[in-house]
Amino acid sequence: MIEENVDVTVIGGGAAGLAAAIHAKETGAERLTVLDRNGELGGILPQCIHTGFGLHHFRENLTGPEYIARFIERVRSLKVECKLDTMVLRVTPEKEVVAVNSLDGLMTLKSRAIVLAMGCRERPRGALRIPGTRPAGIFTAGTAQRLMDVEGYMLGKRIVILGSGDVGLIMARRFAMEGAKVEAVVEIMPYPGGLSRNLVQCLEDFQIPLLLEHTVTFVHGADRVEAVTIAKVDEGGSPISGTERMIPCDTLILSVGLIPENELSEAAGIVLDPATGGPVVNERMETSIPGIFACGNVVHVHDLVDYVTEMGELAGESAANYTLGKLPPLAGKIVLKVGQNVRYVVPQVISGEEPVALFLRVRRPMRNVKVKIGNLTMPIRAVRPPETVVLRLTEKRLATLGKEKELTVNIEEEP
Amino acid sequence: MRADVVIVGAGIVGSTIARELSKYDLEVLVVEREPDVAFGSPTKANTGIIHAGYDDKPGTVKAEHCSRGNSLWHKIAPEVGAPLKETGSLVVTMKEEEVPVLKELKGRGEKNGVPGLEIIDDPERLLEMEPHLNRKAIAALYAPTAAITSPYDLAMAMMENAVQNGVEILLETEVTGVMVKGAETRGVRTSRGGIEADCVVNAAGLWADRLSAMAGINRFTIHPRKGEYCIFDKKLGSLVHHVLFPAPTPISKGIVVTPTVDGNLLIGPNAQNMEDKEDMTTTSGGLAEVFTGASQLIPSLEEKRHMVITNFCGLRPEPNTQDFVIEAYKEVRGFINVAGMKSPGLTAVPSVAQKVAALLRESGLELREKEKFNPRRKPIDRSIRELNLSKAEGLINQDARHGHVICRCEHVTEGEILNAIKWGASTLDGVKFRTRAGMGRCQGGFCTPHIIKILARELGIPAERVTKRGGKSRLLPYRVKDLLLRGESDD
Amino acid sequence: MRGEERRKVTCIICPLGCDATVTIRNGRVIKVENIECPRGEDYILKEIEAPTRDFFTTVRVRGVGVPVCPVRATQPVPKEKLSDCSKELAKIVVDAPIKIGDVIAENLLGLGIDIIATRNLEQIEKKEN
Repeated sequence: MIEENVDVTVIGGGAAGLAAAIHAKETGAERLTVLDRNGELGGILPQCIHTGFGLHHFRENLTGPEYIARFIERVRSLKVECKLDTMVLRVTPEKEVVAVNSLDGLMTLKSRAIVLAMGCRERPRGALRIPGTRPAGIFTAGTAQRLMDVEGYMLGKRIVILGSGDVGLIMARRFAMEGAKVEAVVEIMPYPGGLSRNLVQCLEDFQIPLLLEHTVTFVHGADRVEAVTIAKVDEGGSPISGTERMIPCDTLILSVGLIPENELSEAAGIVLDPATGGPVVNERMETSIPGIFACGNVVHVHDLVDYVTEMGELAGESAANYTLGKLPPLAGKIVLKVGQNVRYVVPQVISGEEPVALFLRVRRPMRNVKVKIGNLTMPIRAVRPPETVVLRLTEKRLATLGKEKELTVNIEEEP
Repeated sequence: MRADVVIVGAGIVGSTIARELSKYDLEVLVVEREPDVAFGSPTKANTGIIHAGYDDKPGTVKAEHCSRGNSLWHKIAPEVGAPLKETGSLVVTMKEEEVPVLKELKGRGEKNGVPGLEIIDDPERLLEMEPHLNRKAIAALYAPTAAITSPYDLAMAMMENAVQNGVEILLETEVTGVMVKGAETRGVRTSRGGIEADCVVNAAGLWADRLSAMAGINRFTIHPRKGEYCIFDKKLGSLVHHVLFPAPTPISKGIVVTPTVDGNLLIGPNAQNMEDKEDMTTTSGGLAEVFTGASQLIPSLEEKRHMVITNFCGLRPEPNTQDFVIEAYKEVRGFINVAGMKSPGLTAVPSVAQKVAALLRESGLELREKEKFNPRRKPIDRSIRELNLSKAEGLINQDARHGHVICRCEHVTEGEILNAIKWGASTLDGVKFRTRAGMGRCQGGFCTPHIIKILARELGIPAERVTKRGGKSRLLPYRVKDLLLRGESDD
Repeated sequence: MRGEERRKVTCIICPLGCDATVTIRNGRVIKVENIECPRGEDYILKEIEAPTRDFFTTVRVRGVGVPVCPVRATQPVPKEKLSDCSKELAKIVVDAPIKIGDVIAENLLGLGIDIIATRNLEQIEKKEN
């Protein structure tokens, strides 16, 4: 078993991990290793072949692969060590990372700081308990995307998509562009889960029906999907008897939720926030274990990669400063709690002394709202559940916050 | 093709009989219509309990073999490297009127030779044994010899050991007829040609009645009885420690809550009579029934629905005779039925296999013990998954591919997957059931593309031909651009 | 009035998502109601009169472990040409190695737009060995 002493170990070589590694190196960390379970760096981005990446960060409209290529090149030119096809088996509270790959075998990286950037996984069919058969032809949207846009396969020719989140909408467009017929996108809520731009450009453009307040109640087909039964649902999300109809298809794509991948974090004893599914972090992206930082989708599921990069840079910088002894304790401690209409807020702990960006998710679409934190009030014209609300707490705004140890973040709608 | 014995069916019954017969100097050929061992529903979708043996009425064939099978499995499972965990079981009652049932079961068990049975009527002790048990529980029958296993792991292990010892197996081969001349078995006709054999053992599970009829024996029918299951995340794996049963009804042992050998929590099965032997659909009603039943025993499960990672169903092969059909026939010498092996079929089968050997001997087959029978099979090494790091290191030194983790949730390595393919996995499910790749919390989301690539590479087939479980279950029917290019030519 | 059409269009420029009502005559917008900003109005006009879209897809690759390379158009393409562009690119197969920015197809369908690669394939090629 190889044992190595490392300054910073970054777990995950996607957008978050690479941003963290680059900034950690640039901030002065010397012995740095990035570990990734895939055969190439980039995380989910190499398979996101659509545009819309980098509008904030680079002020350009790039595809996923182009966006991440810049970070991959930077990591290379900085000569940061990257171990691919490497699986982290365990992270200990003492910051030891146990990992394995074919080249090095088993290794323990005794790290002075760790950055968690494991991203998220997709909610599978089993978790939905959809009755019916269990044939070939059921894929989660991300797996479908990899099979289609990296491996080069066409999964089927008549598609039904469950879930109108952005990943599902984007796959609807991809399927349509590759010659398949997308019969419907089925959404259990009364409003769609994805961005408006995607509703127009992925569904309307291709005349793909969006069936709100519907769900899939049965899968048909012994060996391969042959059809699905859909039904309208009531307010509680339960199927309404008598509204069922069958849609013949050969593929069912599931886009029903992303879950931050925190098995390693939990096993290490890191405190998680049930609202995000990710670690509780402070404004430096530090978790409940000093010296272990987190960024990207492992903290909460982002909608824009630009914010992932921002968070990654912060985590990397913090991790490097930690190893250099340049990370004094937070000057203050304010715990942020979610109040009215707020699903979660990240970071959950701030000092109140340093400028910080807060990332919020709201519970329902609203217009002309006021975000209230302590004595601070900020107006926003419109908020929607799929879009992260970013509040930049400048020094001026922080001054109005107040001196409470605990502040609730509320969003109030103007009448 | 020729053999001394043809065994039809490679489920737990066929595999166990194959292993038993592999102890003798015989040419044994197993014929299985699915692409892999244990793909048939009764073995694959099975609660995996090695019952203690108190359920069966003394004097039945079930009773004759169940508790014997239990002790045999305690010896055989470790030999073939299959998992077996002695958890013990509790039949729990919450009503005074049910207590006599417990006493009756105890009496039956004692007659059947089941050791250690005890009626616990101290609720405090029950809660000590099972802290999450329904507080309404007033008494339970405790059977310390009940155990849990993984039914398909067991079947695959038995078949591998049988093959190690000379048994041959033909997969994706369906028996279409039994050849009988006069009163003698002559062999079978299959989709791949005829096989001459003096002895045919019918272990065809759900289809045993159809096979028996092909031999001219129409003494029983098998009808399918569906049972649905839910599996919970491993975080709930230690919610219960024993196999928990409710008080039994005349038709079923009831909806069980049990830990699995892999560390998950399993609930089910319900019982629903079916017509169609190929109806493998789970239903919302069935799932609701399973949840309601399980929550009677463990009320906290009601709030844990979000921790279900998958659900599935199986079909029990119910014989209209209400008992196992383990028979030889004067009118067709050499044809042995081993049918209707629903619960406690899995438990009873090692004992049944010995009986089958005896029946074969009685029908004229010479059974000479092999000198070189090797009862031991080395299981697929799971060191990475078990985080047995020193052992894992040795493995990686031998073959670097044991360091390449493919299934992130269950920590299954490329080395394990290659092993599974070497031992016969040719489908995604075949790899899944041998290695557990795809059985974790992401249910194959990450590993499926990688496993497809490995299967394609190792089997030398294009990825489009890789299937989920054989037949028409292709995963990637087209290459990208196929549909667009076809569209062009259609214009 | 004859020859006039009223249509609802949702603006996608910002999260407000104004639902505009547009009056169209002979394919030209003559009135836009319920749009709150000039950016939105620009978007609506373009969306009705000359809608364009970012175009991106994959092309088949010969000779490397990864059978497809992602590509995109250097400029937005007319919305009604999306499907044709897709079909046209389905016909070609390119050779590795490929670098981001390599022109895969020039002046696609005579639209004056090039198609460039958006991924470096050399990286994968080495790994396969």
